[in-house]
Amino acid sequence: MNSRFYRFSWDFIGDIEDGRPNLGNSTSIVVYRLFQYTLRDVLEARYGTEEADRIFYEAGFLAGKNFCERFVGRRESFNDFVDGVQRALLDLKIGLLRMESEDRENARFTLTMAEDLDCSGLPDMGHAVCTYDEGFIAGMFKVFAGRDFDVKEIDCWSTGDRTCRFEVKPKSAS
Amino acid sequence: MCNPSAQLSSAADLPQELLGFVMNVLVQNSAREGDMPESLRGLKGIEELHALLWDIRHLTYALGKGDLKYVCKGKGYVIGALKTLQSNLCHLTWQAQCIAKGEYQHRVSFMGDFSTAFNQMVAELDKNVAELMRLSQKYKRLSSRDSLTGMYNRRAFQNLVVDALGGGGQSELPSTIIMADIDHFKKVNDTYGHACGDVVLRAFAQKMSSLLRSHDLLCRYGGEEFVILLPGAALEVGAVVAQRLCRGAQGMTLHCEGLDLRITASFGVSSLAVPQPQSRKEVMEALDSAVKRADDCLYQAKNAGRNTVVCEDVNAPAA
Repeated sequence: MNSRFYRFSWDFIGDIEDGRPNLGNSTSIVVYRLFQYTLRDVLEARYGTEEADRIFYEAGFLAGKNFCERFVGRRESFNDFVDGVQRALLDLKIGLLRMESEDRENARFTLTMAEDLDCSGLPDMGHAVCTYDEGFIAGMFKVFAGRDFDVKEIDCWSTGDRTCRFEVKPKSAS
Repeated sequence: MCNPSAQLSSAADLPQELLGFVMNVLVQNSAREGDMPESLRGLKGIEELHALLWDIRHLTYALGKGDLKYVCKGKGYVIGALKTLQSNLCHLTWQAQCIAKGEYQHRVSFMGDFSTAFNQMVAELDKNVAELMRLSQKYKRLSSRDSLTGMYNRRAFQNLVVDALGGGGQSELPSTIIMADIDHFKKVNDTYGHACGDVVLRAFAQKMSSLLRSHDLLCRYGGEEFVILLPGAALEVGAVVAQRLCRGAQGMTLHCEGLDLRITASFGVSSLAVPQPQSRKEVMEALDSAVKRADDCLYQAKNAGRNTVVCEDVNAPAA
């Protein structure tokens, strides 16, 4: 593709103060989920569930990478990186990140995200839905570690749990 | 052939059996996983209920003991809440480990009173450790410095010389020791008082310091005597530096008690060579020897009329 309209840059955020002098910078989670799940509906109908999930994972990866570069920055130590990510996610009300377990030698981690933007409060649907978040976390880890990770959600509100749980492992090991 | 009466009594007992079964798992210490009344087997969903109850039992027991490793496969409201608690406790464990390593920026959020107490504890810890570090650095500095002039004291000087010359690299080059002594200092004290004497000592030390390189070591050796290490400087260089210091002292005008005082100082210069490798003891012995030789030269400078420099290899006073 030679020319693209929507290659991501932070220009797409724009000047919100100028653009929304009355409504301001906040809106409801309803709006966010309306956007996401209608988009997923169309993607799934057109390309199938697996492909729709792959697209969402990739979008999440792009978002996580850019988010980390902008709001977390380069961090020297892993603990400092986790602390920075926690704060950024809290400040922007994306979720409450917790480190549940770590195996640094094998680069395997288990994270939980409480009050997740995508799924908290959803009913049990029998499958996890936070594919975008999987990619998001993978994108952030890529920024910190400079290598690729696979991220899989193993618990979700939509699988009957009350917090999202993600397993992170090096891409070559998956 | 089934017995209709038996079937009827079994059906009537079922709710009671089910209640008993659930209560048994939730309440009885002696309950065993897998035990289930025969009458309940075959009931739709009973296996899932059994598994869920035991999962809850195992998980709450593990949490109660502080065992955070129990892996629970169950889902749903109660198990989900317990797993959230387990996850929070795991995270708190991780944060406590980070704080133990000195990472005091960690804070806990959204865990009610525990968050408040934990965060307060970490903030206090951070404050106390910072204060301890500050005091430690302050006392370390105080213990290594002469309180009047601010220069190194003898013990600190000796340790620094050993550290500077005990390893390889620049320490393999010869260094120079200069002994400096303010001329007629006793007379200053006797004539103008000890307050003036202190002014002279401070000003002299400041002047000497201002004429040295940043990595040269200046120490108040005792009374009005100062010793200087010029690391990596040969004797000839040391002699030139000593002459500069001598001229510097001569050029000073000090103001004290409404008077203008002029002073001079005498200097003895010796070489300090520390071939490598050397133990700390050997470096100390070399230093002591160099200081003694510089002191001998200083004595010669005093005898030669003061306000002069004598180097150990040149016994006549330097021009």
